[in-house]
Amino acid sequence: MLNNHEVNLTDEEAAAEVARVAKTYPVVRLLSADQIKSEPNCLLAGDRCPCLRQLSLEALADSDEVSEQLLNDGVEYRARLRPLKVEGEPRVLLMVRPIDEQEAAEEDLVYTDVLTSVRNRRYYEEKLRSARMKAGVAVIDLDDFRVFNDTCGRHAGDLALGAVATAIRSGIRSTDELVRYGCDKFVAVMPDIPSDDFARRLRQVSDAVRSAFIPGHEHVSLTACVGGVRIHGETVDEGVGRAVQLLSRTKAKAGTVVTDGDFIEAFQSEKPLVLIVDDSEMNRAILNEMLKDEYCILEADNGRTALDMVDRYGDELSLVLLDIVMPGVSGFEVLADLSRRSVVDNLPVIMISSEDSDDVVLRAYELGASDYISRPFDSRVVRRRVSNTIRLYAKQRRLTSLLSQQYNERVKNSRMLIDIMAGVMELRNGESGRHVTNIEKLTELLLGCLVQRSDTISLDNEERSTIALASALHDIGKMAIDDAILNKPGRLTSEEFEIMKTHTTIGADMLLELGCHHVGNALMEYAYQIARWHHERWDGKGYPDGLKGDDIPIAAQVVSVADVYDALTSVRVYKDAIPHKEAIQMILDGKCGTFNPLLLDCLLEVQDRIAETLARPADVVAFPTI
Amino acid sequence: MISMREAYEKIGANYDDACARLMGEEMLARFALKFLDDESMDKLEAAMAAGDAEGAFMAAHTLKGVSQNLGFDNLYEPAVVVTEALRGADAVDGAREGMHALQQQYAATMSALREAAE
Repeated sequence: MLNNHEVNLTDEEAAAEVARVAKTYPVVRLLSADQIKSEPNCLLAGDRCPCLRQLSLEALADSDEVSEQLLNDGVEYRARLRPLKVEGEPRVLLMVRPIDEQEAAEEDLVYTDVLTSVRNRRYYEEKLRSARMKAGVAVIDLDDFRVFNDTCGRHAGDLALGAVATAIRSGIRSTDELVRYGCDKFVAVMPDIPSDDFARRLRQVSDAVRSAFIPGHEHVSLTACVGGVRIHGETVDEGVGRAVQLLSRTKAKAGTVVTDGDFIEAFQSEKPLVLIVDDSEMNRAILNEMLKDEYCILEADNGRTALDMVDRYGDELSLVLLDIVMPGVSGFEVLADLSRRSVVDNLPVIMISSEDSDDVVLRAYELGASDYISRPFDSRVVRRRVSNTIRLYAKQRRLTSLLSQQYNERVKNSRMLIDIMAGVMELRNGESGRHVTNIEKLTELLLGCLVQRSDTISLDNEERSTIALASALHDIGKMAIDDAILNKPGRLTSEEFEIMKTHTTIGADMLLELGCHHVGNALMEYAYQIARWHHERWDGKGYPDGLKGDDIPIAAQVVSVADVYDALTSVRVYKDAIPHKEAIQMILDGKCGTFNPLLLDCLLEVQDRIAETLARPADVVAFPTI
Repeated sequence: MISMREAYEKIGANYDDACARLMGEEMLARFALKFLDDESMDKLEAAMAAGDAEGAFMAAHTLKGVSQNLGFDNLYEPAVVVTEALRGADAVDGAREGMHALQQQYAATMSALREAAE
């Protein structure tokens, strides 16, 4: 194959080369510079085809082979322009053939994004970017995708992108072009689309993304901001640029859909709400004028009204601009109040004043202001600060909710597994199906009361529910106890009882071994304590270790009371159920061993709520008294 | 009838700076004319007359902020003097001297603005 342009061919050799390539190319011409310049018609198909003249000249000048794809009469052709020297004269060998299916498929592959199967960036750069047309151009930008990727893993991120691409496809017409433009950005090009249909489809795209199903992460709902503009003969790239700009103006709110032109009105109502607090009407008017194009403005002329409005509008408010010196409730007092109630965690407050001494500025920041604008106002600075702050907070709000969503999902997952395990255990132990649930509820009730009564025990909400969850595994060691002993209808012999007692140490060992990959995990720690020590007693007469008093971890102490209560009030193979009141009295009287007096106080305090929460009407009817 | 620029120049206020900050000439003119309805000077004078130091401070402070925003440098400076004289004060007497200059500048500003409004 002769493709080295440095090679100088003779006329005969050139003719042979033409004959050779003619076997694969139906159209082959060897052109001189003069021919390229002077031939009146298009080099390939007269005046009907996109001209290759310019390309031929380029090939001639650059001495590099040029390849081009062109459309003529509905057929796609591949044209190659190879520069050669024949008898010392520069020539261009023009070869054209229709693109067959295989080549089309290969090309398809080159232009397809591996993850999402839509067009890739290369396709955009080579085929779409400079195309001039009449079309709707939309940029679809996934919100917080990076966080999703980081928290759920790359694999999940890849799956999500695939799901999102499919979702977007479902919202646009099959003939529209869809490109993965960046990591988490897509571009859709919809030629000749009527503007109302364009806006409707963009909303469809947004909805479809929101309800996209991500395998393995069904709880996560991704959102995308969609910005659409219409081009009338401009290039697609110009359209994309405008759409990106449009989006950057609205990106504060996840899931926003915005188009230019007719539909800007619909978007107006989505403008973030900003509260301006200043006692001077003049100052409010100036700020209002500066911000009203981008935001919905509320005004308050004193601190009291401002606080009322913050309470009334709550989460709908995106930002407060707050003057410091006002009659009555001052700006500092408003800020202090919002700060005390943690409102400033989610609602940015920008302080305004001409009191620009360092002390005043510092005090504002210390009280929780996000930023500070000093007089005289400069519209450019005010606008930029407001929009930056709103964006930052909006992003933070979205991230927080995404993380808590995922956290809750994880808790839900561990809870599901524990429920299954507990269920299996109950089946084997022949206990009522509610034993585990009851113990969990009792544990939570007792813990809640305990932290209120005790000065030394501090367990936050999360720790308390972790302990309650761990209580489900208290009898896990019974798995290893012989059925004949476990479900023996009569009294256990002392030998059998010794075996029965080992369920505590066996359970603890199981958790230690099975949980060795989770060292330091709070749930595992509590489950271990509870499994091992839920039969210990305050006076040291329990088993397996004979621990005394507060040497018994508090989690195990609480579960031991809960366990005894539930055992008393439940039917067992060897006994009937004892009514609520009687059971409580038995525990208080020390009939089931000695417990922490503080815990007994708690039991007394919550006894009515226990009766309510664990109401078992069937038991009450069947066993009125014993 | 004079232009807003002329009004600013007449009283020694900073027109170009205010224009740049407040979104151009048209908007500045609107705000500046709004100053004709601003009540902070009335409030200041009433509080001074009543010997209400705190009320006077608030009104002077507001006047200071507004004139600063509008670029009325001529008014801003005496407003600062009066505001500072009243800050944390129990009586209004300390501000009487400054009030004089402020009232003078206020009158000049109002008259120039009225001319521009005609």
